[in-house]
Amino acid sequence: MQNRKNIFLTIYTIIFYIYIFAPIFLIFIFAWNKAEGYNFPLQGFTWEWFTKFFQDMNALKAIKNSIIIALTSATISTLLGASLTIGIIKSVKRHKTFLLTLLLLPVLMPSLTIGISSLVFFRTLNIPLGIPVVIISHVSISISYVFLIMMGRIEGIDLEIQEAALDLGANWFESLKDVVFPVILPAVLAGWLFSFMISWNEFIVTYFLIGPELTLPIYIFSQLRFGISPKVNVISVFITFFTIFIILLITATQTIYKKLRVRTINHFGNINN
Amino acid sequence: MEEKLNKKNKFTEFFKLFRVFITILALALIFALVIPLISGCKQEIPKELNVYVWEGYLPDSAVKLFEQETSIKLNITFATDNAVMLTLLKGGGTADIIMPTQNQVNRFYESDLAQPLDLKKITNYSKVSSALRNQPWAKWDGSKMGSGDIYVIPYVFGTSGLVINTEKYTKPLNDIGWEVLFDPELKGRVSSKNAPESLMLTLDLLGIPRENLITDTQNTLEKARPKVIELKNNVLKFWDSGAEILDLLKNEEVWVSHIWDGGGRKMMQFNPKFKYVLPKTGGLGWTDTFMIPKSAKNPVGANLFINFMLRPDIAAMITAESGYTTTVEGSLDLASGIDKDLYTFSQEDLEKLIWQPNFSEDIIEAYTSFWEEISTVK
Repeated sequence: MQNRKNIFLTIYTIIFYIYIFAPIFLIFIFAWNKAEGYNFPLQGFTWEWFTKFFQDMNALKAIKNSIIIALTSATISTLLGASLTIGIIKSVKRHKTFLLTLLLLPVLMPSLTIGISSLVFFRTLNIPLGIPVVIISHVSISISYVFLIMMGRIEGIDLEIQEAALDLGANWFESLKDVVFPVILPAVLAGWLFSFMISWNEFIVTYFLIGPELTLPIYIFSQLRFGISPKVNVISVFITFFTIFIILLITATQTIYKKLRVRTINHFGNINN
Repeated sequence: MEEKLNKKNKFTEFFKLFRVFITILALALIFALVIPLISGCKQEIPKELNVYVWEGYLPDSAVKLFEQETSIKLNITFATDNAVMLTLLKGGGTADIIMPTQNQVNRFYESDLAQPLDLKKITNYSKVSSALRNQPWAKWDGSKMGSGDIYVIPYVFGTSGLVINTEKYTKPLNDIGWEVLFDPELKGRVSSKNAPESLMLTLDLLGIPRENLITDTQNTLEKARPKVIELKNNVLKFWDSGAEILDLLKNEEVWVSHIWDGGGRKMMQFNPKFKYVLPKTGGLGWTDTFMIPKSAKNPVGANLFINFMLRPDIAAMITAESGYTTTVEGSLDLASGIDKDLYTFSQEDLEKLIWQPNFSEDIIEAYTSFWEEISTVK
């Protein structure tokens, strides 16, 4: 009975991963394919699309803008979202449900509505369109998501450890830096990554607010009219490799850090003594 | 002693709140000062041009040449849809150049979003093909099209017709018309664009002039309804994007389809068994035009830009690199590396082209909701 359950689970897992990764794998293959489009049989190996991609000023500009917007809005919305979550957990006693529902609104509203109303709002105030305005709108959308993620993770943590630290002599800043922050760090990182993803993929609101600039989703969507260029496949290859590289880097850093700590402890005895 | 402690506690509480308030105020002030500086700087530089073009209409080589010759920096973004461009401008967005398709320009005129072109500054206007130069939709006098100043210049132009996989559809092609899409032998092997354009070709097939949509909207739509439903039942699916129909054709899931000429050319270059033909009732004509919005910050630069694009050698670059035909006469001869036959239209074909009339907002709404209702109902 136990073996049967394991086999079923294994098969299901394999099929699930194939379902997730097969499209990505196909895109990889077609990044080196001579012909345009996604059709078999393959027409031959070529680096042509890679060269074309590096020569395409618009594609490079689009990626650069996307990265800038995503990094900035992720950082700002994580800072604000984390403060928001801790603040709500600590101080909101009355009208909690109403406040939480209010915070969920950006998640529920369709992007088209948010985009057009933001456009009219900013233009009525005569604020020029461009990357700063896009960052602001991304932050206001992401804060809700960051809040949702962090609320789930932090609610279980007893934040009174901060007061305990204060009692034991830490000042306000130390109590945050050394006691609270390490505990909520996984939640903060999760929130940061999620809001980075949201900003990176955001198309509709960005399109209305960015004015005469390109971001990666705009670059790709505008190709739908006449056919998607294989340069998009090349971009996918680079993004995937970059992500894998970052993950390997983080894992390597963690392993090295742990090994160093162990070695230091073994060498000098307990650090805190 | 207790009184002193109480006072002290109250003071620290108040001070905490005060601290928070001051921080928020400071941040708001910094924000209010910084944002206008960042973008305000951009506004003071007149040497920039914001353009909304369709993807592929502005190759990098042309951009570099323009920036070298005029020292004006081009900020390019791509249009995705005419309706979105309209919403953007209505909502307060600005641009120096936009490229609406000719059948949508009336919506821009009526919303007071366009400004008349100063043809004295755009000397290369004379190079635009005479067949396309004095079209009624290019003129607007404040209340109706057909007379008045010129507001748009057609630039990229093309046709829409049929692409046929001659291996799968072996009948002769010389008298082919839209009815091939209704052929029951090809059931599940045809496709058409998922847009009111497919409604228009049904009207052509029934012999109903499209202007009837203006005079008698509901009845015309109802007359076309059974034919449109017949088309819907015969197609594999309606295609939503150029990328999609090209894939369907290459995979041979679809054998015959309504397609724009650029796609037809791509299929012919992919494999000579694909042929692009215009139906005997006449192909559909479309052209993307240059328009300068009223809110343009650099209309002088915009004129320079249009004049630049209308140069035959620059137009040749567009054709050579992106595969689209321009209205500029003489540009085909300068385009290198292309098969000129693929890009030339016979005089007869040009004369039979059916152009989409310009419809007002309420008619557009009527036939759009009609199309959505039919194309989604299962």
